[in-house]
Amino acid sequence: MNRLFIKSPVNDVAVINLALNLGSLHEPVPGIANVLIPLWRMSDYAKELERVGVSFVIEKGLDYLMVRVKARYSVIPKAVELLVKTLLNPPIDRLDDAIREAGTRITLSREDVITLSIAEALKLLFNDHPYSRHPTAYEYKLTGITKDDVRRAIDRLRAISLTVVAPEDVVEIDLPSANYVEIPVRGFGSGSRDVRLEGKVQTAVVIMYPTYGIKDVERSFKMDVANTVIGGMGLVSRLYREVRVKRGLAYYAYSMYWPLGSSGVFIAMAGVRREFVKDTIDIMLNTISNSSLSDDELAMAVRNRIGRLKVMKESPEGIANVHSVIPTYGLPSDYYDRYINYIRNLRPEDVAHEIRGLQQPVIVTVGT
Amino acid sequence: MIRTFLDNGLTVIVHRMPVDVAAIYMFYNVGAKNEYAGIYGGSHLVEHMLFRKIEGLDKSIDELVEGVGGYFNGFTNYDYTAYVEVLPLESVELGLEIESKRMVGALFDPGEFELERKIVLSEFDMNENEVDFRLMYRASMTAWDTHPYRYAVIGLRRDLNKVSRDELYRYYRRYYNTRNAVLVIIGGLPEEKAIELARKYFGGLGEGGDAGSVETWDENMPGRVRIEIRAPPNESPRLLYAIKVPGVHDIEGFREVVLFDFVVSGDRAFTYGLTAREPMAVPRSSRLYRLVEEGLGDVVYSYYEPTLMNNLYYVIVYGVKDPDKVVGKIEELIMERPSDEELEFARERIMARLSFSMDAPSKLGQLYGLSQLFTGDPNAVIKAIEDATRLGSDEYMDFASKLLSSPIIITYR
Repeated sequence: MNRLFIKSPVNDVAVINLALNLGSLHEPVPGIANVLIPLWRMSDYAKELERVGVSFVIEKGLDYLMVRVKARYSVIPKAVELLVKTLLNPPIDRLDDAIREAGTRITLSREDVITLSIAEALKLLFNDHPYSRHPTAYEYKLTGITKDDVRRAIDRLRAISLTVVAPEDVVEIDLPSANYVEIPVRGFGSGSRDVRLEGKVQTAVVIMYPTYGIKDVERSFKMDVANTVIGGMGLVSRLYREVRVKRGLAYYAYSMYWPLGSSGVFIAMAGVRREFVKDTIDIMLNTISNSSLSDDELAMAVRNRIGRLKVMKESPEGIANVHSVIPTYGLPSDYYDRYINYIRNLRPEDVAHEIRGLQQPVIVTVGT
Repeated sequence: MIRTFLDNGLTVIVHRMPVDVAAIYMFYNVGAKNEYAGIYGGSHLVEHMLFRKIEGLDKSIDELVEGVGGYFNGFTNYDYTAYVEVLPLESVELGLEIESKRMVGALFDPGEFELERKIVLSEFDMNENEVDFRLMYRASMTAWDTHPYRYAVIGLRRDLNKVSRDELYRYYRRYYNTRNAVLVIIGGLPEEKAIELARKYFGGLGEGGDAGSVETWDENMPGRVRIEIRAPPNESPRLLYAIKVPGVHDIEGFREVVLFDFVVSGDRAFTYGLTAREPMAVPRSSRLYRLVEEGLGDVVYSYYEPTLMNNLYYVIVYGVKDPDKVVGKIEELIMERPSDEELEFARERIMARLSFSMDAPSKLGQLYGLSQLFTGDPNAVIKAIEDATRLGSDEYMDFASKLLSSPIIITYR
């Protein structure tokens, strides 16, 4: 198993990030991870974990299912033992309860206009690729999932990576392992979609572009900086300034770059009243397509990225979250050193080139 | 941890941790509790204005902080307004400079004020998109008639639409002063150095302005209230159950709330990590999850945050089929005497969560700052949380027996 240990700055707390092969990408049955999450938590082993004061969440992503564990260091051996038992022994007899709970959670996710707009954009952009299935807000057909499906999923369960932040390197997890396997995207979809939901006041606007995945290391570094300039740097970013600061159209306007293992997506978002949707989309598209970049703007974005890396590592869980991509995707151990060195030497035209190279986006609006 | 006071009355709390960053918080003792008719939501709008033009800063705050990769934010709450920067250690003075200028130099440019008014109204829209927010807001309006907690923190649309720039500027000048503020510096800086920097940046500020402390009070709840609201077909049916619990002004009551909370709900963040999410989920071993185990709902969670005065503790159950049964079960769960095993479970989780709440500068800074603001002692809240683990089943039952006289129940289906 790819694993990474980082010594924690605090003595009494440990964090474990365990990535499993049950993201949208590798689920043997779509939605089975959504059902397994409540099923696992129903087990007596999981309840015992809770009783020893362990805090843990199981989060489904596009590439993997991440089990994030936080515990006092003194209980770590017990926590690891119980965690493995939890994962290998879901109480299958309670499958119907788990399906019902998972279904309600998906309904709740789909009530949220931001989550639903991203889910709908993924569907449009990725066609029949597994990335088209938002981890928590796709319309999974859960009622067809059987006990045999669950048993097969457990048989095929593999740990992709283990990241440990603790005072000492004492954690071993006894689970079968596998490397992350890419599933190439054959072609991207296009178009737009408007979803109307009753009872909403504000409409979410999502503009989503396909771009580089994390294994395309240097181009993903450039795209990360491009995202920082466009909408990833809080109130200073171009989107924020154009949509919120200058015009007061929205409380939120930002962008995200998801460098995934089999592709990447760049997502621009804003939340506005329905009557401002058209103007907002125009402003967002114009802002994103502006590829001019000054030396000062680039220098600020680079300083932001380098400083933010430090700041994100102020807590044990922050350290684990930042570093867990390295074992998960089999990236070089000096990944972040390379990142810093690379972006320090970028020129404005390098980033501008990436902005100009963005392909046709999909546009989704969700609101009343 | 060291606490000191500058000559101008500013409270300064510093603590060293072995990390390469520092969190700088400035807490002001002003929030929804200080508002009155005509400016409900105004504390929050003031907070927004304090990210706009500030005299003495050559760039915007966002530009300054983002330019070094720092994290920054502002929070308006029922009782306080806080500003924070989490910065690489080498940039720590930037945060102190920003906070010292922000305290006295916000310009409230009229054009910017009108833009921020629109942005806050957009934030209101965003909140109203959330069913749970709408239900909690409704419960709050039912729980109080004239108390300033009635309109939560976001306030009233009517007031936000009308309040003038000048009125809120006066509000800012009144409450943003050294005697009404607590500066917290936590991180890799030696404590003596942190105090020296606090003196450098804040020692020269004057003392004018008012304190935001208020007499704590409450209104009696109107007895058991049931409200039915129709849900559109695209939203999950749910039930909100709200009861009033003591605020931190009653530190013994707060201690009991902590035990109650961990017995009933099983977990609660005492502080929030600003730069990374903590792993948190409602434990299945908690009492609340019996609602799901028994098929009365599909998903359940509770919401509570410590405030100075008494406030509401919410339980929300999704996928509810029989609201009466759910209400009956919630009350049964609350009134059940905790077993030794349950108390042990709660104690373990309280102590674990307290450890998790103190392992990063941005989390520990919240604990110290809020504690100072609420009680005048930066350690009092931590001590109350620890003391909660020493309470037993009798104390639990005494406390629980006072809670159920006037719940607010909202059915959304």
